[in-house]
Amino acid sequence: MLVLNNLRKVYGTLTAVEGTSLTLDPGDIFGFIGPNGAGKTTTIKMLATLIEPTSGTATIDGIDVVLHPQQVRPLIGYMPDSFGLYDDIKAWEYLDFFASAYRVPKADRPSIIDSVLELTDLTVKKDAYVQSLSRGMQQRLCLAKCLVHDPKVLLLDEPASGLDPRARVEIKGLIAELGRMGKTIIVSSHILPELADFCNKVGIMERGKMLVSDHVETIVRRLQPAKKIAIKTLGSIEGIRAALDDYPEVTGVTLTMDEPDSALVDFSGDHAAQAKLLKTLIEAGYQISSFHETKMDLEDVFLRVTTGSVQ
Amino acid sequence: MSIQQKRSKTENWFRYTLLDNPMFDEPKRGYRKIMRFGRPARIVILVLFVVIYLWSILMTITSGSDVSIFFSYLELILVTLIIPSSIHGAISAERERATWDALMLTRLTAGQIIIGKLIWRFRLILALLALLLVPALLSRTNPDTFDISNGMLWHAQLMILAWCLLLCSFGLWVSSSTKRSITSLAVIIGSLIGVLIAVPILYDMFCHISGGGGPGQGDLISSAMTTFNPFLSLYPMMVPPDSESGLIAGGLSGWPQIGLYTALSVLFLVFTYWRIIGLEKPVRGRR
Repeated sequence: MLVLNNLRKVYGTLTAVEGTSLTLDPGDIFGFIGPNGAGKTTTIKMLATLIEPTSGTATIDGIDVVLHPQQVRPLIGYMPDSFGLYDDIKAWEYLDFFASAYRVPKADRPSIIDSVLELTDLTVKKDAYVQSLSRGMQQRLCLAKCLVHDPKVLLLDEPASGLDPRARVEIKGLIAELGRMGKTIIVSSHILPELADFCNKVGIMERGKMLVSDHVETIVRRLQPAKKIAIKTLGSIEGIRAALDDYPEVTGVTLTMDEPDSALVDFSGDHAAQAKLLKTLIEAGYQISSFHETKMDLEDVFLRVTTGSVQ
Repeated sequence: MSIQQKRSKTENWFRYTLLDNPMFDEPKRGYRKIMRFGRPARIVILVLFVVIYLWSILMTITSGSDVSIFFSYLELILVTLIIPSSIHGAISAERERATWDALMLTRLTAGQIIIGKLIWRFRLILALLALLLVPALLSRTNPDTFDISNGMLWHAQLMILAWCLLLCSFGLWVSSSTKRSITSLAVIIGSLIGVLIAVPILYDMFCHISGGGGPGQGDLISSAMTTFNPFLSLYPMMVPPDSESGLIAGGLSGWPQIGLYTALSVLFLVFTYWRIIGLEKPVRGRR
């Protein structure tokens, strides 16, 4: 559905985006992560046909975005991080305006507007003026505007920025629902834990370079090949250490400096072996207060992969 | 492309440009802005307008005097005030409020945006001109024969329409060339003051200073500035042909002005089109 091949954007001496490649299928929700100035917005804008790439190609549904932008635009819905709204216009009129601009047949518009309002949970605000909506509702309205022409691809640049926690949860649910509807979605965000909830693929960008791009589990497995089990005891962890060192599936033990009764164990066994380890430790008389598997989350991945430098 | 496809494309263009153009929704927002003024103020203004209008028609009928020149000048003044205030933000305000990108991503073409923004404004101007034309027509109508075929009134109206088109197209071009609507407004007003007032005054002063005693009868520049200034050429156009004015405008019945304003309008519309195409220059299918 969406293919980027060495997409590059250079402004004078600054390389904003350096040779980015990516392939997404229908239904993929791709999380675009990176610090400010990494090149996420520039990449999204190139896909949205608002910026011409310096080199490389990008195709959406087989159509080149540079050679045939007019054909690509009806296929995409773009929501920028800061968007404008018209004053003195009602929510449904705002959607009707854009539906008309996208040449949605007049007879179909009322039903389409009602359905996107329902999808974005704005039905009760149908006749409300746009400027009277809260920030979260305006974001949802902007998202509804992106959906009136039923695009195949959604490009969402920081869709949850400036929203309170409840509104962020609502947007998250909405994006997940859109993914289930078969749309290909690219979401850029700084709020990594939320991205992990609904993205099946992520890409981490820094200083214009895509450092890593793949399914979330694949990236985590690559960076954390062995399972990590966090163990907490009532007494000192030193006593358990010897037992753990001798255990066959334990490949390493790391003591947590700030918590003397905790340790992180590198474990290569499966869940059955994990349960057996716990049973062994308890039968040996150790007082285990906590025993659980820890996985790298997106924040850990991000911190591991990036250097924190800016250009 | 087959004939069927070409016909379909033409029909689509006609429909989405002239009939179902989303730009035609803009007046609704302007109307609501006006309605935000307090109800008492709106009622007072409306009543005042109706009273003055009806009084002028009554005076025209009862006095029998020719007020067509007065109403023609009123039309000219109102359009010269209203059009810049309406059109200055046509495109610059879209960029200012960050709705321009969203508009560019739709299936609207640059031409459809320009035509849409132009047409609805022109509809309002035509309505205003028609309203003010009524008393002018009444005063020029021969009560015995109901003859309203006084050509000079219609020439004057054509010239005012051409002037409106010029103001709209110039305003659109300026609006497309600036990022802020206040800058557009300043440039439009500044240009009007410059062309209509400042340049003629400065030229006149220059002629006096250079010892010529002012622009002479045969001074082409001065004649051109007078001829093509609608405020100066409207009066001689509408007085009877045997008047003593002797200015070019009266002799040529306003056609030079109509021609020049129309030609400049086309030029500014082309400039605006190029400008908008330039705004979406980043991706236009070129390689």
